[in-house]
Amino acid sequence: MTSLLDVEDLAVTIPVRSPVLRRRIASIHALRGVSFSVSAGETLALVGESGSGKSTAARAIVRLVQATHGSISFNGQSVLEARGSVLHAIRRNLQIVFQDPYSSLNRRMSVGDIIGEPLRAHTVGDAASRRRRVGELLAQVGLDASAFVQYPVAFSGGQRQRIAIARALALSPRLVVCDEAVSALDVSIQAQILNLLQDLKRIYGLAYLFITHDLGVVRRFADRVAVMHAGRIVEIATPEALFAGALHPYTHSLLSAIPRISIGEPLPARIRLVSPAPSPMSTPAGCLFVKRCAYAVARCGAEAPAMRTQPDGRQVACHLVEKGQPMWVSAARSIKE
Amino acid sequence: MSIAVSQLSVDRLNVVYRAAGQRRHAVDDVSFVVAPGESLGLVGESGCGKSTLAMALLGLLDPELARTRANSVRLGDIDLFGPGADAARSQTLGKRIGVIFQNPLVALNPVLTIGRQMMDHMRWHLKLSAEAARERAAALLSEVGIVDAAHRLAGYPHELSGGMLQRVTIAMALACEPELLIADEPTTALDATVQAEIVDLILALRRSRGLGLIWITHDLALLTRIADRVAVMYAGRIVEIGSITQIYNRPSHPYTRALLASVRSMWEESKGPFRTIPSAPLGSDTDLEGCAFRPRCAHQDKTCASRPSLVVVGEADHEVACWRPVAEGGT
Repeated sequence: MTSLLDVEDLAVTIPVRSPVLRRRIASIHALRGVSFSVSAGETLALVGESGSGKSTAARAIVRLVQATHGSISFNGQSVLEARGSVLHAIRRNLQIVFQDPYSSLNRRMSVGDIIGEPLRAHTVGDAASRRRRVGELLAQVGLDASAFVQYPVAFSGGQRQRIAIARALALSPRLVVCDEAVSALDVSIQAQILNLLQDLKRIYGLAYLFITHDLGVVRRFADRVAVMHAGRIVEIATPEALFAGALHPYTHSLLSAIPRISIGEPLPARIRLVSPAPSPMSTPAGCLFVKRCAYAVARCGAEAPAMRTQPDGRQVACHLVEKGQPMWVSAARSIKE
Repeated sequence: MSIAVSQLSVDRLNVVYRAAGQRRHAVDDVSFVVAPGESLGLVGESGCGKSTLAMALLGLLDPELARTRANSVRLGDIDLFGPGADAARSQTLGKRIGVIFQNPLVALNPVLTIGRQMMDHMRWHLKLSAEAARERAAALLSEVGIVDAAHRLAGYPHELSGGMLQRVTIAMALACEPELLIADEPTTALDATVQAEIVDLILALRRSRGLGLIWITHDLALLTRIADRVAVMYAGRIVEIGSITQIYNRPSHPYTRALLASVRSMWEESKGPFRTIPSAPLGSDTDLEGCAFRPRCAHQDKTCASRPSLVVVGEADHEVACWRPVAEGGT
């Protein structure tokens, strides 16, 4: 698989200005240099807690927020430098589905107009062929043809998300960014939408960048998972490897905090974080997780760990991982003994 | 401090919303009991009426929009819905029944200090002096894990993170030593690691104080850590109620079974499709004569056109409202 999307050292810094003179008094580091790639037909999940920068990454990729540093290449073309017709072409192939299907659909437009709008914007076909395409999309996302003339108000959250997905697919894109696309939905409806996304992936050969705070959802859905913390990626692995054992202490605490349905079975030991996430305004020299980490050593506060690829292909940014083994586990054990 | 705790018994609670000529039965003939010190999980998907139920118990619904009726809602010997209900409520709510809401930032007044908000209702219910109330507020903040509590009392809500604010509202809910805590999705707005900490805190407080608990959530997995008993709500009705083992290991209502299967399938190793519940067809409303789950149910037949009531299945205390409950091992 060749990579479809390549993100290199992407950073987003938002200036904080003084109230009157609008002088820059501080900076919010929403994204502190992240690199990852998504191959054609692949689902990469980007997970992390609120404020970790995952939605900022999604928005920077579709250029809804301005990147301050780094590069994004889509299908071999630079997204950040693209203008005019090149940008237009990139946008055909790079679509986004948002979390809230109530605010992301215009309530004054009919469902047919909403789904057909990308086709009109990119002047695809004539009115009759666009109408046919919308009908086809409605069927593909599991909505009745009668939805065409109705307005969003007539639909439930799950059905609205189907409309948003149909709109994203109208131009047959190659990559769809799903920014918490199922997070606002009830669990039984989440499952329906995830199944729909899987089916559409097969039909269109789609790749997904799937942003979520819910590690449970990604287990079966994602091909690879990237875990974000404080604007950086700390670990990238397959869900199988991740759930078998995290390499980064942050991933470990995140996994141990997920509630699971198990009655009578002993729960895995919870790993508590010793402090809240670092301020997005701070720029510490070392690892951003150091204050929350129970295993930190002197080096962690002095030197930021680089992302290193382990022998089994997993990537992790932690000084205490050697040859694919989390050395912090044995460090913790020796402290206890 | 150990206190005499009473049982909460709710008998035929109904809430009907009226707006723009439309009528919606949000809570439909709901009855249940929370034994002293027991923890009841109230679970259901959005719109099932679980939050309306909590608001109705607390008397917080706007009477202009919602009509609330009940045979009785008793905490011990006090009837919160009988004659003299207003006096009964002002003596009970906030004192014998504490409450925690989903969004602490909305639950707290942004322009009052945290100390002022904590002290006001302690002074009212416990008749404490300002000094005694401040001391007690600081002690409570320490108990819920807020460091530098005396300093925090002078601060405002916006200075604290969501997890810290939820600790403040927990301290407020506990201020008058309630017997029962109603928690409406108290961790839904929080991150997973913070959620786990808040759950630990509430469970520890419950153990140390012998508190009864009603925990409202859409998260079935979360309840496994919290609840002794579980009531499953669908379309304003309790469709199944039983011990946590009965509900999770021997679910009997087709809706409970489908919901559990759907959550469990998120955790299966296979890469096949997730288990879902079919959506109700467009336009089918919940104000049905018969079983409300009927339009989505794989087991429905003619009998389902009349309304099932809760009856015991299998073991005592395990009740289900279904004409065709699924036996163990069935699908």
